[in-house]
Amino acid sequence: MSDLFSDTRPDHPPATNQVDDGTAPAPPTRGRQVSWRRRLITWPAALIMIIITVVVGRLILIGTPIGDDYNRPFIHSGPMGELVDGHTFVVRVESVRGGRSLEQIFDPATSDGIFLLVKVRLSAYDEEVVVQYQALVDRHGFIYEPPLRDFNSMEGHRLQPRIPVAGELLFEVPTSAAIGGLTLRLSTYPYGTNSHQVVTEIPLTITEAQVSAWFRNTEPLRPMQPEVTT
Amino acid sequence: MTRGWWRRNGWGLLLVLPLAAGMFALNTTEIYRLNFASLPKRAVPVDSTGKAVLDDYAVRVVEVVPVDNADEVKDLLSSTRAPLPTTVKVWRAILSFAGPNEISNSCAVELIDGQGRAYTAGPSELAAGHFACAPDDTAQPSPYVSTSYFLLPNEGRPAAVRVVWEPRLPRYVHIPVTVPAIS
Repeated sequence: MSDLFSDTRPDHPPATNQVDDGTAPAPPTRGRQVSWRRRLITWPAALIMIIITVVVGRLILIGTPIGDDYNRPFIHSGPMGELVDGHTFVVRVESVRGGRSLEQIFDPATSDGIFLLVKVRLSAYDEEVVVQYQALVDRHGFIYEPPLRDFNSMEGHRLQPRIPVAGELLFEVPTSAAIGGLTLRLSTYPYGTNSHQVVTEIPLTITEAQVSAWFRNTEPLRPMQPEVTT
Repeated sequence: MTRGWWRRNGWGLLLVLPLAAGMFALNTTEIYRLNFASLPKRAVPVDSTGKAVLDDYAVRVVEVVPVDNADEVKDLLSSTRAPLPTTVKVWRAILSFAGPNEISNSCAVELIDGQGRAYTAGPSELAAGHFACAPDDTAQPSPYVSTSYFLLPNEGRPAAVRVVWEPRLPRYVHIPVTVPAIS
């Protein structure tokens, strides 16, 4: 029992019935022994260290930007009325008009916000291009993509090289977003802006008076069909 | 760093090179697919009669001509399309395909101009010609003809016809053409 409370083990093994005739080898030297108190502390400490490592690793993962966060686009921006390069195409925003009602095949659609029609002139450079990503983003970062409505035929329009096409892009936004400032984003990359692709950004010039007038306008709008222009 | 450090870690450092090479080797197939196999990279030869052979399929260009007839252009636009301005011209390409089966999908016909710009068959401006490589008459046996329509700028002149059939990439058909002079 006394060994249980001893800090160290005996330096020598227990005596055997070997006769010490003076030629017996010296007992082997043993490494430093670890006390039971120290073992009692070591294991929980190791466990705590593992837990801390896992928690810190998890926090690092949470805090590290991944995927969509670090895949940012190459922004090409310019004002309305000027040509903005989109890498494989070029765009110029001509004008914006709006209203609360939109013509459809059957009954017109009515919005609690407003429908916006952004007139653009698009031209491809050297190969067929489809500007698959079309969106408006407001000053808070909310993104408005084209609604699934009739006559919105600029979506999926295949641009042929050096043949400019004019048409209107359809969006539906809250009036507050339109007043606060909207930016048109276009890209041939279909899945938005979280990629290393060129995205054109063109701030739209819209006044509060225009938005008010559009909100009162109940005449159904019909988007201009794409047509070859000069 | 001491000599002891290099002695302990030398083999590990040497292993970095083959391991890094192995990492890329594992992706070789994907790298090949993305940058070569899925793109038209190897044009098949065209013989002296203008026939290009892609495996068991043979392709010929019957004609590539501008469509000058206003009524024909009107038919191609249908009633829903906006009329075309004088800055563009509609072109028609008739191709002959011969093979064990008709090519009905994953096939694109393009006109290539002198600057290498590619114009695809059945542009959005036209209501007709969206089924490239498909026979004009489904009852027609092989070889069959297939008509495609294109929209080019007025000053554009086709220099070649390109047929890209996805299952046979990276090989494709590239047949140079001579078009009639346009007044």
